[in-house]
Amino acid sequence: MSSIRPTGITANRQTSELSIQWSDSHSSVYPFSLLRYACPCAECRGGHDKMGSDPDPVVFLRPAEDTPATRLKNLEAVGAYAITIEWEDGHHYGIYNWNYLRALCPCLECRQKYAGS
Amino acid sequence: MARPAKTQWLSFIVNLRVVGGALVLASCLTLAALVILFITRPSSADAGQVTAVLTLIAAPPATPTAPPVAAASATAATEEELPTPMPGVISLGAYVQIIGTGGDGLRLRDQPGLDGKVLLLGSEAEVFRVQDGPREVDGYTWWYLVGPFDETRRGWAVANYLQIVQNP
Repeated sequence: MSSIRPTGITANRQTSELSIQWSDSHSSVYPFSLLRYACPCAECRGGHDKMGSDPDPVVFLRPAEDTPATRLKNLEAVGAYAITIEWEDGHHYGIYNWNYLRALCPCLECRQKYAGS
Repeated sequence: MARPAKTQWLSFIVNLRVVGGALVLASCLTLAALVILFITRPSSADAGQVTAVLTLIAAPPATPTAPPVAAASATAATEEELPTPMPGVISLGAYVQIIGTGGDGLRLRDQPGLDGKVLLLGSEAEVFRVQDGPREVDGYTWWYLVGPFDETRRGWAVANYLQIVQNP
């Protein structure tokens, strides 16, 4: 898993989706709202002790919404291991590393793969 | 006088061996470190994957806050129906929540009707998007529900335990 890296990341604010092409040829498409619901920062996860775990399964059940909190303002790389997203409500603390983003992929194949892990 | 001179000579020889041994040991350690660095260096293929191409596509200027299509239809449907959270006002594209099961959950079936095979148990308060329906079967109104992100969570459910989500 750790060797899988993105080869391309596209944040499309017209469709409100973030697309990632992975080095293993897999493609992930994340609605912005899903990324915000799954923000891995300590504030959103409810404490530092919960920051390292996989995404909360509940985030996949929440319906998409369009608010300043779910509108992506900017996207930046963090070293060579993660990205950080700045949202229109000013929140920008979440660091989404590659492993976390891959586990967050909402496609059917990944959900079946990571649901039991 | 001969003994001290011999002792000094022996001492010199011993020191020479110690220094020589230390130099050999240092050389070996340096060589080992170089070998380890060579073996563990990142390959050129890995180096090429380090930096992903980041692309940020701007929102259309005319509608800078345009919501996604699904969210827009859900909002429109919700605004039309509110404030009457009754089973009869559920419509396609709306978001509904399972409610009133007392924590038991709601069965989602592969077809409308009590004879339909139970695919999964929707949890109390779980939110779904309405994709099909309504169907009147076995005295109940049935809607086809799909999980907003997990499309494996889908099936037909009776309207009696569904409530429109006001602000999904």
